[in-house]
Amino acid sequence: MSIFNSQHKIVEIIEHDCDLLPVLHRFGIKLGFGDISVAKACEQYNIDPDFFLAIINVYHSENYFPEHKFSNFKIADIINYLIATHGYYKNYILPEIEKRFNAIIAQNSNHNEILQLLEKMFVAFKNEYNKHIENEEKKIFPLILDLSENKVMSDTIKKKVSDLHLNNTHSQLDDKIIDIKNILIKYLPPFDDANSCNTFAISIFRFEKDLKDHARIEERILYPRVKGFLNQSID
Amino acid sequence: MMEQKTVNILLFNRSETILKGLYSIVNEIGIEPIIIRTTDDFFDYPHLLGYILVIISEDLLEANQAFIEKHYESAETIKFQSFSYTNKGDDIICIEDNSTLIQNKIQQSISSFSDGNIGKQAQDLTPREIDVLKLVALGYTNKEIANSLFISTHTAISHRKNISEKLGIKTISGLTMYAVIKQIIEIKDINTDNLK
Repeated sequence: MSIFNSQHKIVEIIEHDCDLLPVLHRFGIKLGFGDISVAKACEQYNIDPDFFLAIINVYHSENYFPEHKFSNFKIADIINYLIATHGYYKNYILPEIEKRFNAIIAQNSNHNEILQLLEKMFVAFKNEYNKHIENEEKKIFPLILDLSENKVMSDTIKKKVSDLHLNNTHSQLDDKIIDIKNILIKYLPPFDDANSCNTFAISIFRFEKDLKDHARIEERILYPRVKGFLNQSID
Repeated sequence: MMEQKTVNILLFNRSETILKGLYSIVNEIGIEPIIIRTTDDFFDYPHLLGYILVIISEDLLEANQAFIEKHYESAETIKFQSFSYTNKGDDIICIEDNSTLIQNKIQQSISSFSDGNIGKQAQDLTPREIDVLKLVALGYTNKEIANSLFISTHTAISHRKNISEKLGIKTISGLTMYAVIKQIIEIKDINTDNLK
């Protein structure tokens, strides 16, 4: 029963996969769910239930990706979800990981210089990622919203959109966080305080999984729609 | 260390009872299988990579095998294991098999995926690759590496590709970190501002 439907209770979904808590939060659904079902919650929070189910199922089962069902989602819904995800990274996860980094550096007197180097690598990733987010929110998303609302496009806008090179924006960024993860779990020398290192590794794992999901939604749901608009307007 | 390939198990059967049963039996070997009730369901899982094992009701095999193979043509290897209502022994799963026997038959299919793929275990870097890694960590470009080691740029690039595959590290900053941890270079030799 790895695919959730609208009859499932929110509580059941979270009991099955508590990593979905931040995903619910991006839709504005917060703890204290009671016995509410997905259908009811979507009604209450004014969410498209099909979109909600697609997002949580894709997050929950890595291989589930029913592209044919995605073409009806509202562009504004997709973009709002992506922006909420960005906010979660920028305001919570990235600062949180940095804090943890500082904590393990403070608690491990051995191999300290290696941890400091790794932190440098992470901070570089963080800065680059924040820049990537800003570019999407200030330039790319408004352009896409424009495109979805006014189907008629001037040549200038068309050129602007096709100049965005929407593919592969994530792969290099993702490589960086994957490298940090692999170095942590495969190659770091043993540290004094294993517990803090483990907690830290778990938070990197979760973040990497979340990022992968985020990139899939952008690259396989949002961008194909943009290409669809472009082709439409050429016809 | 080479990246290990994922094994995906798909259960394709029209009987909900059999699907649920197989689901929990397969789950016990540590792989969460994907349930397929109709051919339409394959479109919900369009991007499976690595190894795919399809445990398929024997009456569905002939009509669907070609379609499934085409659908997952980008996967590494795809294999079919039949599910039968009569006892046919061997690797065919029978409805009367107990769960241990079913798990053994599935494990056997999974282990046959990696036959002929010897050398997928951890591999150490060769001395030449260590030379290349050292220069990468010092910030050399492919061309500069080629010049200092008297090899072609093409060879330098191919060394780098092999290093990344063996270590599971792709970025320059990641490779630099590795070189420091393994004491291939010293921290004082690298420009830490390049750790980006």
